[in-house]
Amino acid sequence: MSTASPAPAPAPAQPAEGPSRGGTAIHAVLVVVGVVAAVVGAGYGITVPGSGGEVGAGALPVLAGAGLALFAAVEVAKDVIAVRRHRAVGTAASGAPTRPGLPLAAADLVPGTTTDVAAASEAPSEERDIFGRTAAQRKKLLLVVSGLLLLAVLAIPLVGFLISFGLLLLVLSWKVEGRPLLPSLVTTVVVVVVTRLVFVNFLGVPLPSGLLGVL
Amino acid sequence: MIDNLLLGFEAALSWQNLGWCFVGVLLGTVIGLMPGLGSTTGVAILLPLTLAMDPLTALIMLAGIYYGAQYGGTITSVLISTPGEAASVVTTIDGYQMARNGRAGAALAIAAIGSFVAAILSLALLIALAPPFARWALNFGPPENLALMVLGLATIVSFSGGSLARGLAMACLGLLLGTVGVAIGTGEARYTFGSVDLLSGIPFVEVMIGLFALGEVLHQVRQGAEAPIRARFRDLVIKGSELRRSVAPVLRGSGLGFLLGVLPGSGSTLASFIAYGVEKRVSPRKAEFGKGAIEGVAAPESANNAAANANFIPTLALGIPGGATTAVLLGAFTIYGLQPGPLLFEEQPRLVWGLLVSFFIGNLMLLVLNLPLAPAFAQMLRIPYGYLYPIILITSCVGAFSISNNVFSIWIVLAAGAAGFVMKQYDLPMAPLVLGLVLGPLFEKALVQTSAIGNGDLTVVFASPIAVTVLVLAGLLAFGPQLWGLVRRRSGRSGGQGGPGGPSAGAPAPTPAGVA
Repeated sequence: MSTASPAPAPAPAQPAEGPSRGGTAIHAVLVVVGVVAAVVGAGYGITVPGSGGEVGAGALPVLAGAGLALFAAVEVAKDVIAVRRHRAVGTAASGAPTRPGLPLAAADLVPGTTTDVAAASEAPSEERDIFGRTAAQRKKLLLVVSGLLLLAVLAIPLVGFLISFGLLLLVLSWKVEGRPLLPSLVTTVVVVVVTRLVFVNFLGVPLPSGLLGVL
Repeated sequence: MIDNLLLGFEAALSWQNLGWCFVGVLLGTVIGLMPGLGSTTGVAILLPLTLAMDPLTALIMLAGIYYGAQYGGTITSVLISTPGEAASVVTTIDGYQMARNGRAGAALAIAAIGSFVAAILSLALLIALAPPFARWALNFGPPENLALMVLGLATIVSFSGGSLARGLAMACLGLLLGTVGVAIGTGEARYTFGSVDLLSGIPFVEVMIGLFALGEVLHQVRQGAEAPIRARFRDLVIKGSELRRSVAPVLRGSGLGFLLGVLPGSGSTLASFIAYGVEKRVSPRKAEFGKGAIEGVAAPESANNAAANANFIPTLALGIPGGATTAVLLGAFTIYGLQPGPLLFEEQPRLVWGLLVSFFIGNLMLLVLNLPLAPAFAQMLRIPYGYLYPIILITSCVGAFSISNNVFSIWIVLAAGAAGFVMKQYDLPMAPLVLGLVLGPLFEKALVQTSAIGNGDLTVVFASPIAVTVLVLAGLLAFGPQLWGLVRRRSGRSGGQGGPGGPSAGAPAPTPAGVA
């Protein structure tokens, strides 16, 4: 496994394919958050009014906000420089698939997660996982899982926690993941019963039963 | 010290504590086995279960989860090349190769034995060193505490992974999140946007559950899974020659791990990488490294366990978390109404010594459990992820809810989960954020108190020799690795190895999982 040997540290990771746009956008958002937090924080008072300059409620927010903005700005600048360099060099080195957002040098330290696995499995044009899902399918799956989770939390006041999350488990395992109905149903019932026994009966947690008031 | 040890054994050997220690170790191993779930997630998810317990029992169970999960993470590292813990990342290099060569059992066995030896050695050192450390720290006032917090924050450097700026940005974000709520000193509401729920600050455990559990689930769903290697029972038997080869690496790994674990914040990840690097350099079988050398499993596994134990020195004696999991444990202490720090040894000797002794018992249980049962545990890897992650979602949400019986906690988990997913996708390290969030309020308290003592003049810190010493240590910790790397690169060009070398000492440990 050629990629198994860690690169000599502490060399900073050099993204081989240039930084992702998403990564740069996240860094930019962090700059804005930092600036806004520092400005709002300054309003709390950096020093205690009337004291000899004692640390006030705004000091740490300003310090942390400014730090966040500064360090995130460094990352944005690094991204911009890397994009320029990448464009100058050309895209010759962009053949190897990497995990999104993970710089190659760091990704190489996790054997079996990156290039060697893809190579070992006859290098499919699109990385598939053990279920044969393509990257696009997994992206869709992520949206479905996130959406259903959100829905389950929103449904708590209506149907209660256990019914809402029980349904989430059933739908995710049976419909979304394509597991057989009976095992999915059994798993759901077992998990709901165990959760109720442990949290409601044993720990006395008043799990919301919603408008239905059943479980 | 003997009295203290006896007190510890008396406290830890109650049936109740033994039982929960076993449950913790077992649950920890199972949690460590789950793809992507590590000790931090395990402790965070199961913390609500312990709220009704006696603090000592609760901490014994949580500590059991901590080192149980570390071993569970090793099993996944070896069998499916997916480290459950950042500290097991380096084990995948040779462990997975051993598994592919049909020596999965030997890799798992030496990891269990190495971890046990390391745990016992480091425990002896821990018991010897923690009390004097705490006694020394008893003299600390606000300026010394401020210096200590700076030291804690300086450790972020070693958690930053690939990019220091990114790590520092995350630490600042953590500090910022820690300022939400009523301000220390002035009582002013900060960043609450009129929400009553936010007045008491952003709840720590919910954020941890979101970041580590939900964030990891979403990340795994997006990334997809890999095929496991099945461990057969007959692969389990470790040969005498393999054991003999492992003696020195285990001892070296334990020593290195302990030394590094004592430094607040350096964590077990760094220890495992450095132990691997050192072993690769000193081993007579250098050429076998990366192809399934048992030394490449024995050394880092011993090191990460020794470091995990040593981590408790700064956590218990100084109140500075040694790593992400001890940061969560630190949060647990405060939930039980305990203040970690030098006074803990004086005020709660039964708790401290009971906890320390429980490490010994827990590690013994882990060895007895894992030597024969590792392949059986490995069968858990066959639980389809399609069932597993919905269960993790439920457990996370119900756990979060039970902390304050409030649906707001679940929303915090969702928000933190989304943030955790984004951080994983874009390689933003989580450990600095956790550290910032934990240390933020403590740092601010020390800052406010010190500035009050000096009437606004923070340079009073420099009047204390202890504070100055701690600050110098902080400086070394923050900038030492870079300087060391610079020196090494210069000297390495002339007489260093050709080709890729092992991870160098003092190098920031890469944390691909974002967990340290």
